[in-house]
Amino acid sequence: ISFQMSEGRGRFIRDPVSFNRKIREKMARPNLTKFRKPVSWNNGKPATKFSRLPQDCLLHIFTYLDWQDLESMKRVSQTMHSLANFTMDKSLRRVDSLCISQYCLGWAAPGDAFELYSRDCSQQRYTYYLEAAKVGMGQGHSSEHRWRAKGKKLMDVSELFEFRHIYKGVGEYSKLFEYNSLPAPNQNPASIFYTRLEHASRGAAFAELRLVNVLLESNYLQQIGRALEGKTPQTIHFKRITRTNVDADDKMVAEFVHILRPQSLILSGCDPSDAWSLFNESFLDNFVSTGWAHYSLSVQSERIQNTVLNAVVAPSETFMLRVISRFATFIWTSYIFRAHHLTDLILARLKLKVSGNWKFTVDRVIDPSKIKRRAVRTREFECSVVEDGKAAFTISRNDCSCCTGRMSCSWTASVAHLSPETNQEVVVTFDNIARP
Amino acid sequence: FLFPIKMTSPRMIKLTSNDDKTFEVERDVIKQSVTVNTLITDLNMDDEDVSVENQMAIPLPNVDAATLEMVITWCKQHREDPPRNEEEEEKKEKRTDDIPEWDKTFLDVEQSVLFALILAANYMDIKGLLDNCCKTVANMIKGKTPDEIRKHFNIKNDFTPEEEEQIRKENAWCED
Repeated sequence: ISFQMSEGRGRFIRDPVSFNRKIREKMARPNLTKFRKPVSWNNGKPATKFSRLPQDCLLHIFTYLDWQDLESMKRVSQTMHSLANFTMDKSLRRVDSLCISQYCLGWAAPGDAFELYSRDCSQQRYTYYLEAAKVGMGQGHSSEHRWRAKGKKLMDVSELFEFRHIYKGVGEYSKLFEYNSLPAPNQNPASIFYTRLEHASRGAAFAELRLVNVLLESNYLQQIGRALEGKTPQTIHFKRITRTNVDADDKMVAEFVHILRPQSLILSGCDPSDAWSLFNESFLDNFVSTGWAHYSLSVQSERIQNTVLNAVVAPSETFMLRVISRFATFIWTSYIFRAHHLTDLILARLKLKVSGNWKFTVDRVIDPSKIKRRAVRTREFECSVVEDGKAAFTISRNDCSCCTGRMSCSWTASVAHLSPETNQEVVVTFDNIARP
Repeated sequence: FLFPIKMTSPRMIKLTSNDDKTFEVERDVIKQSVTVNTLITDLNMDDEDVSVENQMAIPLPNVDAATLEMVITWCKQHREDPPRNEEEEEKKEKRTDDIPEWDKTFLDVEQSVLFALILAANYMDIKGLLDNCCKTVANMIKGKTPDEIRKHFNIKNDFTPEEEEQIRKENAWCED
């Protein structure tokens, strides 16, 4: 409370500083002693009990409870059960990430036998592997203790079902779900998994859906898509995915993404051939028809050596044309990016004749001189570097293939933020794209 | 040339509790109650010509004197609060750790008093008071097991054993 007086009024008070202090002290310590022992509350009627509060008041209170507390309230009484259910249905939980992984289907455990995740929560998450099978996962120490208590041995299959909230602390809100170890069909009834998944994802809005080590030959992906229908995660992240039947499984992936309609798709830690082959023509057509061009795609590789990538991940012209150029944002991480890729990409984007900004990110140096050399070599378009550090160039081409030379098309592109030191982000602005 | 300065005393409003006790409260203070504010506006009670002696007291049949006194105390404390933007309040994350210190002390009362305040705030439509009361109750619930909640609020468990088992199964996935 700030008690300030104007000069004119303050002169009537002998000691305004002391007066202000007294006022502050008085206001800071409300005299509540008379309220502590009420003589007659509610006019002699019985005092109000929690369960007798009107339902709208109870629902108001419930809106301040997190999911775990609502689960507790559901078990208090029948009234509380229905009210907590109602609140859970109405409320929208913001969950940072839903992670679904599948380590127990013969997949070799990636990395070391012990993998440690540390996220934005104060507690750390642990994943344990033993003999290429996941042992346990959880937050804090509970899983570790359980695992150690069992002599670091593989737990019972039923214990591989872990679907947990990760709590930052008591009373705080669950920000992350983790489901590990999709059940093998012959071991566990799949219905349990999907029932739990539906139950756990109830009322949740996921910022990210991560699918780690998911074997796409199973029908899990389709079922998960159905269980999570309408959740619309902002990002779907496929990490270390694999499959056996490319055509059939690609359709499944397309359907999965089509159902969930994320704004961003991330592929990471995949075998490059898998990552690329996901984007065959039939797969891509699904996204083109659903306006996928406005979304972003990120391809990341965390463990594959550059030498391998150099040989494998040379993007073909088809890939440039049909995939990268169609995404409004393209993030390319840990892949070798040759200088001529930039010009190829820009050319592919120009051919789409879509005006406006187009951004992609790479983490390899783009040598402006190589851009120039490429331009000179092909003689298809002209390319000039304005200055180091902030390169910009113009491409113009008269004999464009789109109108087979019958009409004159003028294409212009300028590249901003192209820094030779970092080359982290390239924003290409297309303007004056002539439409034949 | 000295002109007499007209001292304008704050406009007062009379409120009557359900046990027939009348309270006089400044107009600016009670404007936080949407119910009372609407009544004052609808009945043209803001008219300057009506003196407080001749003014009709607004009856509050759902609020007793002790609770009303507390409500008025709270309103006096929060009279300078900026007006609430309901749309922004809706968008904000629901937190319970942002109760002001003064309110924490003020609401550190017996359960029955707190619930009476909730009822009064709900009836008088005082959003700030209702929110802080509800947050206080929510804080009482947080981190407690169902048994502890029943004990704390004296709630009877009316589930049959079969129902309890069913709910336990439903919640099994989130139990440690």
